[in-house]
Amino acid sequence: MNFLLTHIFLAVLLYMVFFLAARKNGTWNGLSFFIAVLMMEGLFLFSVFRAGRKDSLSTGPFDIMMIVWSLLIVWELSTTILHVAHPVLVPSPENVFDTFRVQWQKMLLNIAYSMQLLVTGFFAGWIPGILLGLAAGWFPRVKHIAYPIANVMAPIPAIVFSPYLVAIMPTFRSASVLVILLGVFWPAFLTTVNRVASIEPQIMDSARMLSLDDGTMIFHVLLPYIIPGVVSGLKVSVTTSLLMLNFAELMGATHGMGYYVQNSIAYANYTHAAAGIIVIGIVVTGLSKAVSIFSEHAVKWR
Amino acid sequence: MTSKPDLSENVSPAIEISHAGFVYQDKNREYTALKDINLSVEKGQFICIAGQSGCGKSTLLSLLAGLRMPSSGTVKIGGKQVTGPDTDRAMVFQSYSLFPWMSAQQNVAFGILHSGRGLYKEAARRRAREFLTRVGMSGQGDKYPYQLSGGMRQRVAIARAFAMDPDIFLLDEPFGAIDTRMRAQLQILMEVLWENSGGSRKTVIFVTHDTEEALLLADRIIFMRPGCIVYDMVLDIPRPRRQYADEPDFKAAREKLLKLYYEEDCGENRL
Repeated sequence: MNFLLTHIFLAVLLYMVFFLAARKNGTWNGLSFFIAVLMMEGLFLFSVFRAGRKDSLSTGPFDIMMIVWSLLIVWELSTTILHVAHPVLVPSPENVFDTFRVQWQKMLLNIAYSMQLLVTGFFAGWIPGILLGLAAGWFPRVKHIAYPIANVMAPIPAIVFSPYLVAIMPTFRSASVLVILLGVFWPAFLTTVNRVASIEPQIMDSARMLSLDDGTMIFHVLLPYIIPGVVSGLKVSVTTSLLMLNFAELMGATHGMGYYVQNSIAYANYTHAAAGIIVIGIVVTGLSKAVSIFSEHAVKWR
Repeated sequence: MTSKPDLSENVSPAIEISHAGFVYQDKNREYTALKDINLSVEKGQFICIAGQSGCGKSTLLSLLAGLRMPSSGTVKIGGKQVTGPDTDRAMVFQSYSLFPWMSAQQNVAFGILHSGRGLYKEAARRRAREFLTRVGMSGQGDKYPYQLSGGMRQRVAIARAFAMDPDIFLLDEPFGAIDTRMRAQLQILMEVLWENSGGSRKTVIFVTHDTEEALLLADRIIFMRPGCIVYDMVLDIPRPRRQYADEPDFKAAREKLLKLYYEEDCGENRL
C-alpha cells in the first residue's frame, strides 16, 4: 500500500520532468535531475529491502520518500512548469542538479579541501583532549588546574572565536584548524575526566591490587575503560566540527564547501549555492553514517 | 636440618594486626567502622571472617589489601607494615574483579605480567591457559567477561589470583552473588586450589556472611560484630568437610556460629 502510494508520487514527478517541462519550455535539460531522482529511488529501494527482512511494519522510509517526492514536485511545479517562483532566487531543480554534472570536479576538490582541514583540526583537538583528560583523571594536581579552566572554556562556542582567529592567524587554514581544535578539545577533555571519575570503584581497586605503574594504569585501565563513552560521543563531535568548519569557511576562505556556497551567493549564482548546500548535506550524512558504522564495531567487549 | 628460614617463618606470623581502627570520614560525618582490632594469622591458614553485613569485615580486608590505611594501630604482613597494595597479595571481589575490556585469558595474563614474576608475554599466556584449565575454563579464554556467567567470572578471577602466586589471598564475599549449586562447585574448587597451592600452602582470608560456607572452608573462623571481633573459632575438622557435616564437632560449631548471629553487641564475651 505504502509502496504503491510512494510510487504514484514518483510517477507524477517523472511525468512532470519528462512531459510537462519540455512542453512548457521547448528545451529539455532534465537528464541530471532524472539521474538524481533515480539514485534517490535506488537508495530508497535498497533501504526498504534491507530493512524488509527485519521489520516489515516500519513505515519510516515510505513516509520520508513521500515527503521528498512532494517537495520535489512542488519545486518543479513552481519553477520549471508554472514559473511562479522568483527566477533568480529560486533556481529550477533541473539547473541545480545539472550543476553537479558541470562542476563535479570543483566540488570534489572543495570537499577534499574541507575534509583535510576537518581531519587535521579534529584529531589535533580530540587526541590531546583525551590525553589531558586521562592525565587529569589520574593525577589530582592536573585535574585541579585543568578542570576549572575547562569549565569556563568548554561552554563558549568555538564559532564565536572564528572571526577573530581568521583575522589574527597567518593563514585561513591555520585559523580554521584552530577553530575546530578549540571546539573539540575541551569537550573531549571534560567527557574523559567525567568518565574516569565515574569508573567502577571495584575496577579501580582491582587495578590498584596489581600495583600498576602510572603509565600502565592510564593506558591499560583508564583508556580502555573510557573508550566506549568516547566513541559514542564521536558522531556528535565530528558533525559539530564540520559545522564549525563550514561556518569558518563562510569568512575568508579560498576553498572548501562553505566557501563554495558563500562564493556562489556573492556572485548571485543561487543555482550553484543550492547545489553546494545539497553537497554539504550529503557529506554530513555520509560522515555521520561512517562514524556510526565505525562506533558499532570499535568496542568488542560489551 | 637447615631450619633457618623455617624458624624465621615461625617467629613472624603471616599477618599481624594490632589495635587497628578505621574511621570513615565524610564531609561532616564520621563513622567508626573498626575499633581496636587484634588478629594474628599463621602462614598457610584458611581464615574465614564472618558476621552480618555492615560489621566491618570488608573494611578489615581492605586494610590487609592496603587499599585503605588504618586510622590507628598497625597492620603487618610478613613482619612488614602495610603501606599500600603489593604483589604479595591478590584479591578477588564479589564482582568486577576482572577488566571488562580484556578476554578471560588476557585478564589472567595481565595479572601474571604485573605480579613481578618477571615473565614475558608468551610465558604469561601459557601460564594463564594453564590456570584457566585448572579452574575448569579451558577453551573459554577468548570470551569477554560480559559473555561469561557470574560463576565463570569468579572462576577466572580466582585463576588470576592463583596464577599471580601471591603469599596471601584476600577474597571479599566472592561467591555472594552466585546461585547455590554453582556456589558449592566454587567452594570445592577454592579448597582444591588452596590445598594444592605449591610447596607451602597459601594464607587465605575469606570474607563471607554465609555460615555454612565458613564452616566448609575455614581452619579458623573470625566472627565480627559492628567494629570488632567477638569470637575466634578454630575448626579441627578433617577435609573435605562435606563428608563430616553431620559429625558432632561440625554441628556444635554451626550452632555456636548461628547463636553468635543472634546475640547483641560486642558485649562481655568480646576478645
